[in-house]
Amino acid sequence: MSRRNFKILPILAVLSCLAGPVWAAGNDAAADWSRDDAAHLLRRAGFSGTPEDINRLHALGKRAAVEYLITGQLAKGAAAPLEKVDLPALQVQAPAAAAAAQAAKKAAALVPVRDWWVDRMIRTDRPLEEKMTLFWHGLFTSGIREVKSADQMAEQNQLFHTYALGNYKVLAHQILHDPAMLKYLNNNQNLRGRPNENLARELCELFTMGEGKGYTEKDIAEIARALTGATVRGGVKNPQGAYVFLPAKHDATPKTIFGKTGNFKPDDVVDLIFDQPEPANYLARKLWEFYAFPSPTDADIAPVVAALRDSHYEVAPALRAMFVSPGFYSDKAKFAIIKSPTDQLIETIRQLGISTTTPQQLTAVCAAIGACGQTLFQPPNVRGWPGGDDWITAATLYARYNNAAALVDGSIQPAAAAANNKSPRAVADEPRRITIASQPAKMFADLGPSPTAEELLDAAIDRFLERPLHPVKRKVLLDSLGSAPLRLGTAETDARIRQMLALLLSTPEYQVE
Amino acid sequence: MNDIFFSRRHFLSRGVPLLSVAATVPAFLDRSAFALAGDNPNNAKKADHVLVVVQLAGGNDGLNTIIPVTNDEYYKARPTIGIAKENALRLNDEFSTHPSAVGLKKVFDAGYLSILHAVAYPNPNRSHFRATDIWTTAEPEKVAKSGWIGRYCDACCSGEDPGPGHKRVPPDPATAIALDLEPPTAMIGPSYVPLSFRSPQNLGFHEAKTDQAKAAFEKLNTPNSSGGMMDAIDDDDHRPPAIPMGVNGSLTQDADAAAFLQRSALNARLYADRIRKSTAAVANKATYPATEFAQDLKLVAQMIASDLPTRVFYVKLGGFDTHSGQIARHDKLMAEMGDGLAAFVDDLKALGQLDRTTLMTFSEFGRRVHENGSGTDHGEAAPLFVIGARIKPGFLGTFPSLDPAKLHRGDVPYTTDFRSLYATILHDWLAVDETKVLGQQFKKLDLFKA
Repeated sequence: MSRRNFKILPILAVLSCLAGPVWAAGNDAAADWSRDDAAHLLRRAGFSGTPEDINRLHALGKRAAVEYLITGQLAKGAAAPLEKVDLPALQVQAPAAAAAAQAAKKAAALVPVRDWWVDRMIRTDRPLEEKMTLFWHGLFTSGIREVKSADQMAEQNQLFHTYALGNYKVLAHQILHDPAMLKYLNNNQNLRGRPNENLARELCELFTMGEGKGYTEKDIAEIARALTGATVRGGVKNPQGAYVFLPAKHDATPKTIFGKTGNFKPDDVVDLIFDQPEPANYLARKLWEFYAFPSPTDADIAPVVAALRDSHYEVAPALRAMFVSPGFYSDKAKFAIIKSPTDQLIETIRQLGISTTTPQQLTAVCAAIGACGQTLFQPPNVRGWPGGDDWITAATLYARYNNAAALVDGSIQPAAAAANNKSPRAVADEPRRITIASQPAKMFADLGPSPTAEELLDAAIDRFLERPLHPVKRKVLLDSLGSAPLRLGTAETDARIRQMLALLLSTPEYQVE
Repeated sequence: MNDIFFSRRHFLSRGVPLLSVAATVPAFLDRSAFALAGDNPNNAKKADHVLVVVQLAGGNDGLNTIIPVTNDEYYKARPTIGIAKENALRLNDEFSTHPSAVGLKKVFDAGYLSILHAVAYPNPNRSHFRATDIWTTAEPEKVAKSGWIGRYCDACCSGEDPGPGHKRVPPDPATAIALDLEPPTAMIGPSYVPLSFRSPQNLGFHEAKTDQAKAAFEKLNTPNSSGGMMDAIDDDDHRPPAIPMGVNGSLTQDADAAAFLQRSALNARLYADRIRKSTAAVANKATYPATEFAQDLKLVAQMIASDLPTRVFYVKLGGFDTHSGQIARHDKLMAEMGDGLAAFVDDLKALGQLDRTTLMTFSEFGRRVHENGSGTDHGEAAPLFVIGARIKPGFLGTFPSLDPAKLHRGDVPYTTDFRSLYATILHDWLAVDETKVLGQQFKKLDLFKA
C-alpha cells in the first residue's frame, strides 16, 4: 500500500464533526500537519508504528493527535490510532522470608521486571507513558548493582510509571522517599554528625538544577544535613527494608539553604529547590533534548519553561507545549536524534508489526538492548545515559545491525535470562536461540500477491525509514531482491524480502529518528 | 544549556578545530577513504611508543592506596577504615600499599612503578562528572570541548596527503582505542573519535548470508561522498569533494549527524576485520586473572604486540565511589587493580613490548581525609601511578601535610598539577609539542629515563 493512503480520513472527519469534538481534524490546516509530521510525532512521543498507525494518528489532526498521546483521550467517534490493549500489572511482593530477600538481591531477580516493562513498550497504546518512564529512569537514576534489590528497583519503576506525566516537584518529593534512591546515593549512610553528601549533590546537580547552577558547595553541605535521617530500614516482615525517617538520626540544628535559614527536613529541601528558577529551565531543556533535538536555544525551550512555571511543574502541559511548537516539527528536529537502543529495538518491533512475544523473547530483547549500551535498571552511572552520538561506537553499531537484522530474520541474540547480568563481552559470545520472525507477507499484503520489486522496496523504505533513500543505496537494495518475480507468502520470496529488510535496517540511515 | 551535558555532536559541531577548518568532521572521511583504497599515508605503521591510560572511575581513595604509615594524622582521621602499618605492604620507610595490592607491590619491587604524590589542580571540583571532565579535557577553568588525547590525535597524529595539493589528512581511526561501549571524553578530539568496543568478537555483521548480501552491506555502509545522507555516493573515487558547511564554517546539523553516522559505520566496518585478525595473531605470554579489568589489559597487550598503528589505549576500572562499606569494596578493587597490572607487566615484558609501553592511571579525585563512618566522601588530590620500563621507578613529588589546619576543605591539597604529567608524557614519551595539546606550558616532571 502507499504511505500516502488517506482514504480513512474523510470518514473520520465526518464522524468527528457529527460528534462535535473538542479536537477535530479540521482544526489544523493541512499545511501545518503533514503525514510526515504525524510520523515524526509518533516516533518521538511513542515508539513509531505501522503505516496504518501513522495514518490514523494523522487523521486526528495535530492538536487531537498530541492530546491523544498525552491523555489517551479521543473525540467521540474518532478511531484510536493505536490498538487498545490490556496490560498486566506488575506484582511487586516484598519477600516475607529472609531467604527470598536474599534471592531478590540478585540481578537475575530483575529479569521478570525488565521483561514486564519491555512488554509494555512493545504493546501499549499509551507509549508516551513508557517513554516518560524511561526519561525519569535516566534522570532520577538508580542501578540494580548498587541497590541490590529487584523489588526496590521495581518499586521505583512503578513510581516513574505513576508520575510519568505527573508533577516534577511531586516526583522529586517522592524520590526522597524511594528506598532504591536512598540506597543508590547512600542516604542510608547520611546521619547526624556524619553527613554523607552524595544524595544532596546529585539532587541539585543532576536531578533538578544542573551542575553549578544556583547552588554553592555550602548549600550542598547544608542540604546533606537536612537530608539526614531519611533512610531504609527492614524488619521481620520486610527484610529488604522500606522508607523511614529516623528523628534520632536527623540533624535538627538550623541550616542555611539558598540564603534561607531554618530547621529544614528532607521534604523542605525539595520545596526550597523548586522555589528557585532552575528546575523549570533544567527540566525543559532535558525534555527538549530527549524529545526534540540537541542543544536547543533558550528561545526554543521558552514555551516549555513557561508551561512548567505556569502549571507549577506539571509535565503534561510542558509536553503539550513542546509537541505543538513549530520547532518540534522543524528540519532541525526531524531525523536529528540518534535512536536510543531502547527506541531502536522497540520501534523495529512495532514497525515490523510484531505484537506478541514470549517471555523468553522479551528477555532476549532486553539483552539485545543492553548489548547496544542501554541496560535497563543499570544506567552507566548516576548521570544516566548521555545519549546522542555517545550511543554509536563500532561495537554498538554492529550490535544494532545484528539485532535489527535478527528481528527481521527470526533469530535474536542472546538467549539466556542470565545474559542480562553478564558483561557485554559475555553477551557477545552467547549463541542465538530465540526467534521472533517478521512476516513479510502480512506486512506488505496491501501490495497484492505479486508486487514488483520496486513497489515492495518503496513500501519498505516508507515503512522503516519514513523518508526517501539515496538512489544509489536504493539501487543496492533493489538488486538485493533479485530479478525473479515476487510471490508474497512463498518461502522463497519471504527469504529474499527478509534479506533485503535486514540490509535496510543495517544502515546508518535507520539509526536516526 | 547546562554545559556539562554537551555531547559528542556538540564537540563535533562547535569545537574549535586545532587544525584548519577543512579538517573538521567529514574530512575525517578522507582518512577512512584512504584506508578503503589501501592508500594509507602516515602513521598507519606501528607507533614507536604506546600509552595506556587506566581510569579508576568513582574517585579512588589515595590515602588507603598509598598509605602514609608514619603519619599520626592519617590514623586520627580514620579510626575505622585506616590501615595499620603492620597490615600494609611496605614500599619504603614512609609509605606502604594496601594489603590487597599485592600485584602493585610486585610491579614496584620490579622497578617498573613510579608513584606520583598528591596530584590534582587548583580549586578542585567534587562532582564526579565535572571532575572527570576536568581530568579528561585538561581544562580546570572552563568547560572544554575536547579531550586531551583526542586533541593529541588531531594535532599530532595527522599527516599530509602525498597526492596533489598536499591536503592535511586526519589521524588513522585506530590511533586511539577504548575498551568500552562508549568512547571516553579524553579521547574525543575536535574531530577525532576513537574506536570503542568491548570485544573484537562484537565487531561483525552476522546476518549477511551470501557474498552478494555482504557486498550490499558494505555498499550501504560506505559514506556518501559529502558525508550527508542525501548526496551522491562516489563509487569510483572515494576521496570526498568539498564538505557542505553552514555559517561560520560549522557543519550544518544535518550534515553533522549524517556525517557522524556514516563515518562511524565505515570505520566500524573497516577496522572490525583488521582488529580481529591482528589480535588473533598474537598469543599472550602471561596468565591473567579472570577479572574484567585484567581481561581488558590482556586484550590491550595483544593489540600492542600486533601490527595495529594504535598509540593510545584506554581501559576503565569502576566502583571506586566508596561512600560506604569501603573496607570490603576497596579491598576487592585493590586486588583487581594490582593483579591485573602485574599480569600486564609480565606479559608485555615477555612479549618484548614493555620498552615501548607506558601506562598511567588517574581517578577524578581522591577522597576526604576523614572517614564518614564506613567510607569516605569525595575529596581532592591523590597519588597516581605511571608504569613502564622507561620510567624512573620510586616516588615522585611531595606528600602534603595531613595536619587538619593545612588541609584544603578537609581534603588532601595537591602538590603536582596533573597537567604537568600530561605535558611530560606528551613531550618525553609521545615526542610531541605538548603546547599543541595543552595550549600552554607546564613544568615537566623528572619521570622518564634519559
